[in-house]
Amino acid sequence: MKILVVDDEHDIQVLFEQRFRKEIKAGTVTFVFAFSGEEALEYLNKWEHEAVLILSDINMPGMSGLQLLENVKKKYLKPPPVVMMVTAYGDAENHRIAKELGADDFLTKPVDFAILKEKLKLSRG
Amino acid sequence: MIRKLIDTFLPGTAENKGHDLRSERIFISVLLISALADLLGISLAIQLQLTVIGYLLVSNAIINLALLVLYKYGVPKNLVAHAFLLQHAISFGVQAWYQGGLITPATAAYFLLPAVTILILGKRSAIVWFVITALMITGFYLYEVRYGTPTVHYPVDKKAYLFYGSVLSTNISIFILLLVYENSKNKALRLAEKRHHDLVITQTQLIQAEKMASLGELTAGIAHEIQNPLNFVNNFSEVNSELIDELNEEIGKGNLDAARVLAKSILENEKKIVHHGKRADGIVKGMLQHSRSSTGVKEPTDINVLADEYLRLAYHGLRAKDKSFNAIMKTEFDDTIGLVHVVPQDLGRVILNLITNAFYAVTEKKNSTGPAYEPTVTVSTQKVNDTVEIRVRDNGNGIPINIRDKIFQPFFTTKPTGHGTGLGLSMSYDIITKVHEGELTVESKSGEGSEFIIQLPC
Repeated sequence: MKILVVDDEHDIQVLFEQRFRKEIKAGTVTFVFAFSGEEALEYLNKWEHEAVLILSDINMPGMSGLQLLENVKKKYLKPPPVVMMVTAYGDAENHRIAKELGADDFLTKPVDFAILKEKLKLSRG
Repeated sequence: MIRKLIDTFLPGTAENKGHDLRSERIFISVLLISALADLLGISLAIQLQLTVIGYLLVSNAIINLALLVLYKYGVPKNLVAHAFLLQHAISFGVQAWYQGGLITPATAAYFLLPAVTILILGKRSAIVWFVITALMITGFYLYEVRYGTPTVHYPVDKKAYLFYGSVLSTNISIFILLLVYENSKNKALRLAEKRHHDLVITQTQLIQAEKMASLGELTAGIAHEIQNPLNFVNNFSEVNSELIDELNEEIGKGNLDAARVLAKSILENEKKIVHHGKRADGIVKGMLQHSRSSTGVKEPTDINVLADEYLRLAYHGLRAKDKSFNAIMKTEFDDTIGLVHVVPQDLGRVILNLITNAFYAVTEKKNSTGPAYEPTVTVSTQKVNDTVEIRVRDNGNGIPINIRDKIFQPFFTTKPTGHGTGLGLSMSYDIITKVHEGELTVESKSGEGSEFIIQLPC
């Protein structure tokens, strides 16, 4: 399974690679990282349907996670990939908008990787 | 009791006008005093067998009261006042005629008219009535020069009594009128003083509110911002405990190479934990610094770090308020600046204010133009000879030329009521020029954007 992680924080790459080191080693999951909404769209345009799941932060300079979600769900890819949004704790407004725009699932920051792994197994199964 | 009597004649519409009814009350008092004076004059007229004047005074008193009633039921004050003055101009004239022309107490009483007019209608009308009374007095004089003194209609042996009664009542009238005026003037002065005092307090509160408002905008953004470092601190810590378990396992197996690799990862993660912990610390400190009143103490400060911190805070603060908002943030920092002696809280407040304004400007332009527009805010620093420049540039609509020299004035704002205190830029200006002996200037082109330039000596 290929997952595209979108976040403007560069350390997110190290974190994911460590958190999923066993899964990556076993080859059950591969990660691609984009550090802005624009970069994510570029990747998706180039490698259409490569990523099965997009995990995106919302607050990013330039294109926000919500705009990326809108683009992915409405304009670009058919059928669209599963999109999971990372929202800040208690941010009900973003949660609501993301849901309206067609987000498939949500994670709150700070990210609980146990829950994320659980969700990934579910979405795989 | 007198106040109650006066207030019964207040027009029904006056209460809704929202001012203190001072001029209305003076006007009613004048009419009441004059009616009273007329009634007192009647007894004098009877004793002097001046029947015509007696009737005149009775009708004067009645007309006076009638005018008061008309005023109460909505006839405009101007109309009532001029009717009142006209009535007395005629009455004084008739009385003077019956008393014997120019050299009588009645012509002397003419001076009451312009004086009263000043009280109830103001300067312009008083000039008009001054001219009218002057003409009437002159008329009597000319008449007497030409045709002689008019017939005296009262017993001449009572001349002293007439003069005594008339002059005394005029004296009393003018005294009471001025007393009323003085009282109400003092009241008005006290009110003005109180209002001024309230205004000064409000201004102080506003300045505090300006600080708290920009803080409030930030808090939401900061809460957001702090999640990112916390995310790393929590997760890298958890990863490290897992790695330490694995490390122990590998050591148990005697697999030292694998153990070394794991130990290296743990160390790197540890560095990340420290880095993001410090980052969260910095964000909280930035918030506290902003809310604390300034120490006023200059300390060596990394201007680039300060500017970058406040750029992020302003951006997230705005995003927390308006989710649809997005802008490109650019930084062009000159790394050769080194540390500059500034009051970090104060300078931070200025930078924050300029950046917030810049974001406001680009948002406005974005709302009025299409999606082709790329809202961009650039913060740059540069060392030029002995000064450090901090520039905050936006590509908004620019500042219209006619308000460019007003933007640093206190309470000047272009934002809708309730959205800005109008104190941001004026406080910024004071902080740069007075606290740091620097300069704050602006360059702006209509349709292309604005650039605020802070120049600090170093």
